[in-house]
Amino acid sequence: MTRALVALLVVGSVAFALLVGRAEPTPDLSRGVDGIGAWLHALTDECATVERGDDFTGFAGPVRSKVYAPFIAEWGTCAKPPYERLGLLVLKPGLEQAWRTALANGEVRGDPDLAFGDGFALTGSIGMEYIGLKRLECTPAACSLIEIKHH
Amino acid sequence: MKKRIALLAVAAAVGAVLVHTGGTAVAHGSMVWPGSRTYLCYEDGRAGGGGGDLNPTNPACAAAVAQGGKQPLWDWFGNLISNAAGRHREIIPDGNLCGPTTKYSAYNLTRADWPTTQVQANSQVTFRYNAWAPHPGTWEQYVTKDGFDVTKPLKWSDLEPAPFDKVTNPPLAGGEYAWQARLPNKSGRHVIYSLWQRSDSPEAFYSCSDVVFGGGTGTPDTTAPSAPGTPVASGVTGSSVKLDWSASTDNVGVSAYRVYSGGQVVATSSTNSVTVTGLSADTSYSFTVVAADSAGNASAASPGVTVRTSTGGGTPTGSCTVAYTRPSTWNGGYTANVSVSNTGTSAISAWQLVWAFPSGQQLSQAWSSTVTVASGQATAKGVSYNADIPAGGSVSFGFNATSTSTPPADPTSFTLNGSACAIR
Repeated sequence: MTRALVALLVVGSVAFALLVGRAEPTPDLSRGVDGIGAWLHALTDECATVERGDDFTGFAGPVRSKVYAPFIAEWGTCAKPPYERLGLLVLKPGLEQAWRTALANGEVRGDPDLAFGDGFALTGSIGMEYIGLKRLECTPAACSLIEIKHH
Repeated sequence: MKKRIALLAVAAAVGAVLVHTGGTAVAHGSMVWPGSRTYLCYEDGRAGGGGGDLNPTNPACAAAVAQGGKQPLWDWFGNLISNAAGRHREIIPDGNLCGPTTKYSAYNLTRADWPTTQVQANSQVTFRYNAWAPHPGTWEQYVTKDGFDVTKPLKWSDLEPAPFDKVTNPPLAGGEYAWQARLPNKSGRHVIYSLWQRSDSPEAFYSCSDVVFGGGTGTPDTTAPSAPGTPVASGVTGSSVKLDWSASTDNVGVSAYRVYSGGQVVATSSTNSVTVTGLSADTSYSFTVVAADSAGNASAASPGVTVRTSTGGGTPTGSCTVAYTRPSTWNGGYTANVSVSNTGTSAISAWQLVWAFPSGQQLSQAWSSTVTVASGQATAKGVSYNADIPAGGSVSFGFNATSTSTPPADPTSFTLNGSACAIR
């Protein structure tokens, strides 16, 4: 019984080591969206091809684009099922304040629909907790980074 | 020793979580029958987008894209509030029921031209809800009150006070939850409002399905349409064939025809004509057609027609490539990811990828595809959002399997709709 348990745990630890061994803990943002794509691909074996975006308003619509776009240094998309086009955003500082201002002005509702890492964000909500991303909960007065509930 | 086991346990758990992110899908979804606004606009967008983009032609869908962008359609299954926790009426203001967050706000547009689904009052139907994995939760389906006006903002008070249908943990198969329900006694234009509140998380999902109730008789429609006529083939090329057949009749109305070949649906149509594409050159196919009504009753199959595609101009051997990887292998099993690319010049509809599946292996779970194993062969088919592969495009799916050998034997050949694929 103990042997079987140890064998099972060794298998798990090997899988862990293999995956962690090939994945950087955070994206290399000096490479822009390619860095986010490479990081995500290393973690998930998906998002193999990143397509750079040139029309963020067409992707996100004018309301969210007005809030987000000034704080996006670069963006692109890749396929990571179930997302046919998952947005990868390299961020500049200020997005949180912009969302709060838009919230106070009644231009948006609720929380930003992004999953945040350090200096970047993804547009998905599924599985983001597994790759260490968090979401913002906002009121006009303040935003809080919170853990994403396990799916 | 205990410490070592504890450490290994932590490593195993983390390993499992990371493996999980490698493809095992998680819950998210939307009503696909009767179709939600986001789902039907997504399908409309695909039809108008030439395979690689979303360009809806329905005016309401186009207006929604103009207001909210294409991302809500790419993410048609994600109309949710993360921390709803059952407080739907408290946190969603009137007028925002169909799109409670900024991202999906455009799906609140007060228009009469959203795509609709024809349904029959009082009929027994099968609700279908897209999903990615089983999760506990409860669905409640509400219908709008008599006198509802779709050109006015949808308010909570517009809904009948009690759901006409409620289900907890319905069965999941083929990437969809499906359950039987009886539609309410209504007539004309209405909205079926679906709430899915997960019980393992505060997350809740919302969808508005625009429906037109007709033909209400007070009794369920259990009458199947008549069998369609024998299909007549024309316009045969190396990769496609046009089929026409005499229409079926039904006491309420035929809602769709399904074209079968080899037991698989290869095309669907709302009329008695369709062009089946993605066929292999110089190959014989036998086609039959089945008619269905809006209550889900299906006719007997039509007589078959056999067609042999021409020798050229179709999808030649080698016009597809397959990338097969095993990102994770463990003692007794493995995870595989498969990417299928159409390197030809015409789209491949209703794709099916076939490869040898050794007897020592057993499929346990698949995602982004429906995979079946029979007689030593695995057959993968697309799901709702990736059933076709545009020219130059690709689709990806994955699966977990058990294996009596480590490492498991990898496939050495694949065929896509009958054509051999190159392996990269």
